[in-house]
Amino acid sequence: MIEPTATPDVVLSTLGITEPQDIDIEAIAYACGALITREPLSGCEANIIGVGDRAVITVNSTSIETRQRFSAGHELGHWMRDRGQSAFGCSDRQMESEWTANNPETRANRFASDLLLPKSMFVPLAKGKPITTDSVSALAAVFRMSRTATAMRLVEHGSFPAIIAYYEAGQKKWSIPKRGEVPFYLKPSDLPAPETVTATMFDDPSVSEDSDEIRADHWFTAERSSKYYIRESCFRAGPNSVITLLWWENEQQIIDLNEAEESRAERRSDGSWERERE
Amino acid sequence: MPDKSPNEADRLARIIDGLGEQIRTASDEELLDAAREERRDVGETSARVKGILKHALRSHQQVQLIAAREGYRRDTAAMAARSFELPETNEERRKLFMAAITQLPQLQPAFTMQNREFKDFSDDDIEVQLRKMALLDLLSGVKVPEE
Repeated sequence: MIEPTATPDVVLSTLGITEPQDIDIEAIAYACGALITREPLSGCEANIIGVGDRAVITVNSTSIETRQRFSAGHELGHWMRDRGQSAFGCSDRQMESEWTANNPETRANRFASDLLLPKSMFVPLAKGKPITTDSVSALAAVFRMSRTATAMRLVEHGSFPAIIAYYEAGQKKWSIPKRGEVPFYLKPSDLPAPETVTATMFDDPSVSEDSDEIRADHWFTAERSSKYYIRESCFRAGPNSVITLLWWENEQQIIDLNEAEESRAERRSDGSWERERE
Repeated sequence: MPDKSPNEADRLARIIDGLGEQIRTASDEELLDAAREERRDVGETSARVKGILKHALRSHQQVQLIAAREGYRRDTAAMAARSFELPETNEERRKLFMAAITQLPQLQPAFTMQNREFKDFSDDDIEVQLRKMALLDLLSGVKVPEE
């Protein structure tokens, strides 16, 4: 049996899995000591009961297949990361919205993502792809995963600077930039401006996904944002929630912001910044 | 008196060793000439051998995965065929479930959700969860309180 401390990469390599079609969640969980069963569940997407080195994961059989796979991976994450606690029950909301806090749900989401969308297989397929709903859907089909989890991965490992944000009832719940490329202070507004695709989707519930090019100042307060254009691509994550992908096909704004930041840092180090402020 | 004549396995091994040695020491040109003389398609042979090696390597690397797939199929089939000794009526099963949750409080997180009360559990939900608990031998020590 695979050790409970094993990372998703170790789990996959132990089982000799190198292709997306071989990511068989039932077999993987079994090798980790957990038996996956599918039953209709009311009020939750999945739960796990574990005793000693054995566990039973129950996944809601009335959910769509991609949701079931992610739910199974999420519960397996609890089993591998939080084994001291013998039971968890998880809702779809926890799996959609908990990506930024440091808690068992976030860790389980992370584990599921690393296991079912492994970087080593994802990066070659994502290379050069625009950060759009279409790319997300195509990759989600290859990995048989939910669009939300796939979109997170595409922003993280895609070829363009990008930000993913989650909006619920018209208000931002969280946003994550591509680390190392998008400046940390560049955060999408908490309430999307009326000109944005995101706002349009909250206004019109019949729209399931949409994309557009939009002036950057509709999203960001950073200096001279009105000079630049960014791409916005959105899809509905739930009846009242939207996943927003913001990305720079033309990276000039990012380059200019980074240069401006470097220039400020230089002036700070030689004291001219303080003199200018005085 | 021991039989000194070589047995069949030894003879076969020597023939294979000899063939292997001949192939190992032959130049690339000699091997290609031999293939051409026998009217064999070198490209096709190469692709076929690569495929065989790749498949063998993959099978070797996936020994644990294949075993896990078989184990999963076996255990789920056994679980479906297994009959659990659960109380006969919905009401009795609900009492057993509540007793299990009370006596094994560590299991509560699996069932308690936001805006969800135990009383909201359907009879089917209760039966499904009791079967899971029985599978993990959790119900043997649970006592339903007498009324």
